[in-house]
Amino acid sequence: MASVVFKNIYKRYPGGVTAVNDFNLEVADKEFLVLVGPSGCGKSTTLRMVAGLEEVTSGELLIDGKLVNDIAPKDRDIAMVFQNYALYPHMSVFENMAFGLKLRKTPKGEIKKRVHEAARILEIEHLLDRSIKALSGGQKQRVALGRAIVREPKVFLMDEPLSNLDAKLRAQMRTEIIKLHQKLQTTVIYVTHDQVEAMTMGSRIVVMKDGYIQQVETPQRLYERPVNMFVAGFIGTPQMNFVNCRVEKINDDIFLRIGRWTIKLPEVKAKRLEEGGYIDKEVVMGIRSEHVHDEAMYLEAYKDSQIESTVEVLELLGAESLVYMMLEGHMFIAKIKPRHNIYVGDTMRFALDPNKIHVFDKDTENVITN
Amino acid sequence: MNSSKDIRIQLDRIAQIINRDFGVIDERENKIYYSGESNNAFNTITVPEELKNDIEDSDFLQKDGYSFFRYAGSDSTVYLYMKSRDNTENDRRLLELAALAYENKEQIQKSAVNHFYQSLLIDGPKSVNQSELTQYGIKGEHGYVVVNIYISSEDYISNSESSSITVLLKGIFSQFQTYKIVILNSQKYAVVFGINEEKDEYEQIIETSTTIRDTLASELMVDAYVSVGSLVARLTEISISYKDAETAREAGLVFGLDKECYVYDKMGIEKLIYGLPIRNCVSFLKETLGVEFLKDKNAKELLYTVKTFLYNNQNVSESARALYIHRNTLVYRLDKFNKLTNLDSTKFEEGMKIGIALMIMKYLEKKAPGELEFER
Repeated sequence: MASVVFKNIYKRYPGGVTAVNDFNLEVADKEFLVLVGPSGCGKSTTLRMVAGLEEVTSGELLIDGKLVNDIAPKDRDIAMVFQNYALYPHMSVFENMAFGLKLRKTPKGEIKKRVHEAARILEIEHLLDRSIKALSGGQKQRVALGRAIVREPKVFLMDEPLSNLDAKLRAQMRTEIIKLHQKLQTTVIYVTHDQVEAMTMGSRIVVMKDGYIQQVETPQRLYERPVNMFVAGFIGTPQMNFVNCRVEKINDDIFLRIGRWTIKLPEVKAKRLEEGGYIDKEVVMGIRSEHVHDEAMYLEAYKDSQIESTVEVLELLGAESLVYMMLEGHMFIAKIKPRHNIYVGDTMRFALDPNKIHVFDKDTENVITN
Repeated sequence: MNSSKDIRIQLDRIAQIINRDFGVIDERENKIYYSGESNNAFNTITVPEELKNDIEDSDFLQKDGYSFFRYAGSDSTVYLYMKSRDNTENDRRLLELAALAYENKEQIQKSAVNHFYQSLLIDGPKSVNQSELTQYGIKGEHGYVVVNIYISSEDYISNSESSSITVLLKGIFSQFQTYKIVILNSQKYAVVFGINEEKDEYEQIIETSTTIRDTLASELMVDAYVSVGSLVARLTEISISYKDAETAREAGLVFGLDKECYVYDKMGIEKLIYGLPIRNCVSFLKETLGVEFLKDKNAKELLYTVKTFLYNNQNVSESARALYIHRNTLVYRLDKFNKLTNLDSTKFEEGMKIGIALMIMKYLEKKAPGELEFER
């Protein structure tokens, strides 16, 4: 078990491309940390630097308090699980799990002990003598995890390990990995481009873009208090609604004007905008679809923050419905309780929960109101 | 039996010395050798599961009147067996000595085979003669293909680690019947496949090759680049497949394509651009984007925006979402690009020119960064 510390880490490739910029982070012992971001954001490069598969250009990388910049990957006491793993088809489950240890000339007794212990944790002891070919997809995935567990590493590094699985198995394996982390009590750094995976698995999430950390937070705080439009848009499904608007002061109240509609902001958010000098300036309003309501009680409660639009697309998802409409040239989505009396072409009125509104600077795209 | 003439002679000698019927089975249950050809019962013997699965934690086992010995060589395991006699320890010693003699001969042969394939891959068909081709050649009824593995971790070059890579590659490719692993040097390996099934085998090789990089990283903690050459008709043409695999890796690295495996036959337009003379590339850039634009301080951001727009099928909403910017910001940037270059990215022909220019820029950045001196 170990902590992992990144101090001013940079990764630059020959030719000038900088993949990771000034990365500073402390991953606590036994933490499940998720690195998430779009393709090319530097998350896998960061993970590969921890593994030692990529050299650190500058900065200090510490595992369990020890500087590892110049330590060979095999001496870092880590184990990795990847997306495109290979299982050896002519070997049994036991042999697959023991293979890496045999290559490292681990004594036979020790191999047996470790493989059986890993199999017990993964609940695949009964499969140890079976051929790999006879296993289901989920069982194969467990064997792949087992190969990492038998190393008994200080840190597990996982790079999109579930990306090749179908949706059902992916959801199942997410739970398996969370349970595994609880059993093993080991530090895990997990890379994914899938924000749902990040939100459901991580005790903390690092959102990355263009090699820079955008925000490091717990899943819930990341969802509720994004620091910029990128994080706000990247985390959450459907994506947060963004609408260009203008800040207006009418008497002592601050409003966001969206075409003919005005949205009254609560005092704290209003104060931030006024103090920031945003009156009469263009900003971007962000609101998540579940905070756009069509029910009477909300329409009654939020009389000063309402919009009206025509339903363009209706997605019935069973437990909820997504209503797609256009608002001043922007696609706008409301997630509402399912009803049978809504049709494409209907004009609907919605109340926006003013407490859940985020306002972003149009140029910097940073949040103003959090 | 899967053994060469030299090894069979060696094993015949061993059988004579130990003066008993004697056999060798490889880890995939293939009979490498057995003496006493008329003795059917002896020839059909299989390796006991207890020994195969290491249940007794011993390399030696006596069962049903036979003595078995498991010998783990540097990159493969074989099982030697013979009729048991009363003295267990003697049987064990005899089989162990037989294993060493076999291993010694096999290593000599492996080295010769490796040298043969090395020459064939690097120097081409002129370097081999017909007798070598008959002796060491593998069968590929529907052609041959070469997979290259380049270990990029420079500090990873010890002999024991090199044999670990060979063992691991054997494990990965164990479902294929006809292949040879060739060690070119401590960082470069090639796997030559004979394609014997008309359908799918080539695709299966590609699919399996995509797992090599991650498997090497997780099992041996080394980074590698994997590339697959083109399919060639004859074994004597594998140098073409090998060179194509090299080109695929180099081009793949230049263009930053999917890093798991670079496949020559699936490289697309990047393969064409990779073969263009640098002079023509520079000329095309100047002609298409213009030197003034290339000098502009906003050129990089604008090019990235246009690239995203083209990659999202010129769909404004999708592109804005992919860039995490507002659609109006995107439209503004596209207009700006249009004004600076006279290229309208919404039109097919001009979009195509921009796309090619973007790829050429990427190519020059890696291959000849000095040629992009007009860039700020």
